[in-house]
Amino acid sequence: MIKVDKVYKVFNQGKINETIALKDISFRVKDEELALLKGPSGSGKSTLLSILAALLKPTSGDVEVEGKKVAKLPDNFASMYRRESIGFIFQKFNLIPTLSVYENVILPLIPSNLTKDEIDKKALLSMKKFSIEHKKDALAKSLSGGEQQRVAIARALVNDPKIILADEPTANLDTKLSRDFLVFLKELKDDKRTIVIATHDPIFFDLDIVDKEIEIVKGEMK
Amino acid sequence: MKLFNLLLFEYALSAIKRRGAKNIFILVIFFILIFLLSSIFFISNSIKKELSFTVDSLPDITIQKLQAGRQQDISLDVVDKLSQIEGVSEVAPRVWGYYYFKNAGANFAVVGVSRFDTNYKKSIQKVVDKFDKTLFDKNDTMIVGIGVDKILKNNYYDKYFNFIKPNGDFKRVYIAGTFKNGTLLESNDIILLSDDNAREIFGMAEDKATDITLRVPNPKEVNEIASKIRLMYPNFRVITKDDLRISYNNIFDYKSGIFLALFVVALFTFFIIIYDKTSGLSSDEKREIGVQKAVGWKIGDIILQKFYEAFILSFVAFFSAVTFAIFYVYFLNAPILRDIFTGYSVLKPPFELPFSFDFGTITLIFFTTVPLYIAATIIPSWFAATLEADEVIR
Amino acid sequence: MNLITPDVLAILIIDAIFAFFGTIAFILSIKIVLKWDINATTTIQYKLEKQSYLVATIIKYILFIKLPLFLYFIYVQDKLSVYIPGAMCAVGVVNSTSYGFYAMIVKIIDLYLFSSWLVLNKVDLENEKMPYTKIKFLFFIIIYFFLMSEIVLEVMEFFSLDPAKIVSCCGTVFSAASKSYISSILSLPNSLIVSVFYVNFILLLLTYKLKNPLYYTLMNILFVITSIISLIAFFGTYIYELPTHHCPFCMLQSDYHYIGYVLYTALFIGTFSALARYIVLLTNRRKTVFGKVSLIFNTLYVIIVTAYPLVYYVRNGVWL
Repeated sequence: MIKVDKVYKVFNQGKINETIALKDISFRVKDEELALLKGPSGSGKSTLLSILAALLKPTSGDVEVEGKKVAKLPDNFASMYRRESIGFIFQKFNLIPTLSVYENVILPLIPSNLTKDEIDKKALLSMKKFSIEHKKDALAKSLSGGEQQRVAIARALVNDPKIILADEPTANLDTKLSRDFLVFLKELKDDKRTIVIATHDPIFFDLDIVDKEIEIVKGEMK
Repeated sequence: MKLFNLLLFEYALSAIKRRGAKNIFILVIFFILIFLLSSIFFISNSIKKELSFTVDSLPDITIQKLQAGRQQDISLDVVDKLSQIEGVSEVAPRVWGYYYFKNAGANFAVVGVSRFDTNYKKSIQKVVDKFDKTLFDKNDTMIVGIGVDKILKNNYYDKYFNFIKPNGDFKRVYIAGTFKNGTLLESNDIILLSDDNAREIFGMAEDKATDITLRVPNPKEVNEIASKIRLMYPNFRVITKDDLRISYNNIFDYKSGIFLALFVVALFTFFIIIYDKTSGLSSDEKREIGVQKAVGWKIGDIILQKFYEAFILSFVAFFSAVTFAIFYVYFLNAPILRDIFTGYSVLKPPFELPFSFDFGTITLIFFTTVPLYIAATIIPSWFAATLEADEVIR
Repeated sequence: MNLITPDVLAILIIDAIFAFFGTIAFILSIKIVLKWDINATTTIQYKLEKQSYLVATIIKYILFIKLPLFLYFIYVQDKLSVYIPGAMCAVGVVNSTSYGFYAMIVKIIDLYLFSSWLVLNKVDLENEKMPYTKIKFLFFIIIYFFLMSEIVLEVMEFFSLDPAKIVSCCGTVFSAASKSYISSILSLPNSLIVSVFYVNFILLLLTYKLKNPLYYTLMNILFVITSIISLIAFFGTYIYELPTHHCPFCMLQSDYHYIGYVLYTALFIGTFSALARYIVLLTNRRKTVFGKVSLIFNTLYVIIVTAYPLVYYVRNGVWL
């Protein structure tokens, strides 16, 4: 369960270029729900997503995820929270092009204290699930768009997170890959994960699997 | 609790390779710096060793007569008094000096040896014995070091040489043989001939000598005896072997001191360069760190990765630079750098630097360089690790 | 230029680095102590959180270099002994100036202090509320003064080394005849010194068994002192097999199989772990491995140090 209570985020507070990115945001996302954060670009969706991932601290307000207050966690706790509970899917894949598929997928696990075998197992599981284990030693930059997409998702899933956060996942994809993404989305939902997607791509609107829509315009909830 | 995360270390290694250009630049500069420093230390250690061989074979006490602060020929009548001092086992006057050969612009050391007095320098003694002693009775023969021989031959003096005496007359001396001595530093500019010939060439009176050397078998008594002689003859300069050793070492350390001062300046500049280079993060690097943080890397993890990168780079540079310096100094004999130490002189020819590997020197080089490098990366690493991740991953 | 050899210069350069970064850490520590508020969501607080990582990194760096540097420092002192008449090893050099002895003591204290800070830091970071942050940085402010004293003492020691002054070597420094206060302790009969040492160790074991961490730590601090004194006065002589050789440094040399390194490392790990354990128990009250580590290394020290006289006796039938 994700609980967001009266979250405000102000950038450059007190300075000339002070901007209010989020104003009085409150909502709930129940377990295993797929929630859409709708809104035009610049509306603050990405900021909200970063706050959910504890990458940013809100200026005020609370965020509770799986019963844990994550709004003001110090860095090392926030990192552990991300590592254990969150799978992040970025807008631009953000793979490291000169690393192999395998190396990209295990990135979240490197600083953990798992043994090489444990990490291997998790990596293989994730790669298999998204059908790229046959390319595990290929360099990321040599992959096609669709393959890169699958690696990005495999990486997000390697630590078996309860919550998936996706920031404009289809913004850089063509129609075919966007549709492929929807297929993955269904799989993730079937896995009983909680999913929050920030997007303004109409392909998501009125989808069956979407449980909730939250609209954000200019930092405020509609 | 795992003490060492190999995967993280490997990641750091791959990160270095991925930022190739920048890291190679740093690596090369650091390599050159350490290479120069190591070479200079190795050369100076070797030369010190050479010199200490030389010093060991020097007389226990050397006595010179001073007049108006300058050295004058010493009279032989003090020899008796000196031999009566307790602890002195032998008193050996020496006749020697420098002869300037104008055509070649070279200075030769002319050393008188006598057949019956055992010569002080054991090494010269060894050489002298090789040749026929009767050669020395003839008024006109000498034995020269190979360096001298070469110069004379270059000036068309093949079988003899004409010395110009102080009164303007010539003295022809035939070359009876050449020698190559043990430590090359000293042998090359020496000419050996009889005491009388030497006196003649320098225009020195029969009852005088250049200086007087004493042998004192018990090293602990040297200082006592030196003090006694100073009291007996206030106008004599009395030099002990220790004095010589200390003054050689001082000249040495003085020269290396200058280098060290220059080096400190170089280090400081280097620090600034490293700081600057590691601070400038490309957008790619920033993105990578942003992704790392987003997937769950702690600030501490990223700092550790950066530390591993710095450690690997500096250590690789250190290790290879030191190895190359060893090769350069001891196998190639350090062309160019060596001349800085021994001074430029026609007669300082190719000599080999003896191998003197000293673990302490390597540790010294390590402490002067690697910690400095790592220190320069502290602030840049921290800065990189504390970037706001959310900005870079949009 | 006195005795500023390249080795000394290397140490001075590193001292300069320590002073520079230490001061940065000091200034940041003051800022943090004054303005830290974990519950605040202001930009300042976030900045301070970031800066606290810089201080921690600087301290880790300093300790990482300090440990091998300490050994190097002793080596350099040993090397300098040839220039100072009368000094036959590092002891003579250290004692030739009024600063040397104090520099050594502060150096050793600093090793403990820096290591303790890192333990406190780790414990602080394990707690979401980071409750020990202000204390930790206050602690560093104190450590900073120790660090600067150490550097100042060290610099003064190097600059006041005088090759013209004759000094005494360990034989006289540690003998009953000289006037230094080390010798006044050493003039006590060996049986007393050794007994105090073993009693200390037994109390150490007892306090561990009785699960009293405070007393255990105190016993360990005492143990550092009694170990070093008994090592110099008694056990060392069995390492050197010479009743007048009271040197704490010579056992670091190859002639004695570098046993000094083993002993001092064991002593440091053993006693420091006790301190670390106390810090952890005091703050997080969780189980820690430091207790066992401390016990093992302290016992190791005692075993090795006891072995020397026993082996000597067995081999020769008499005591020294």
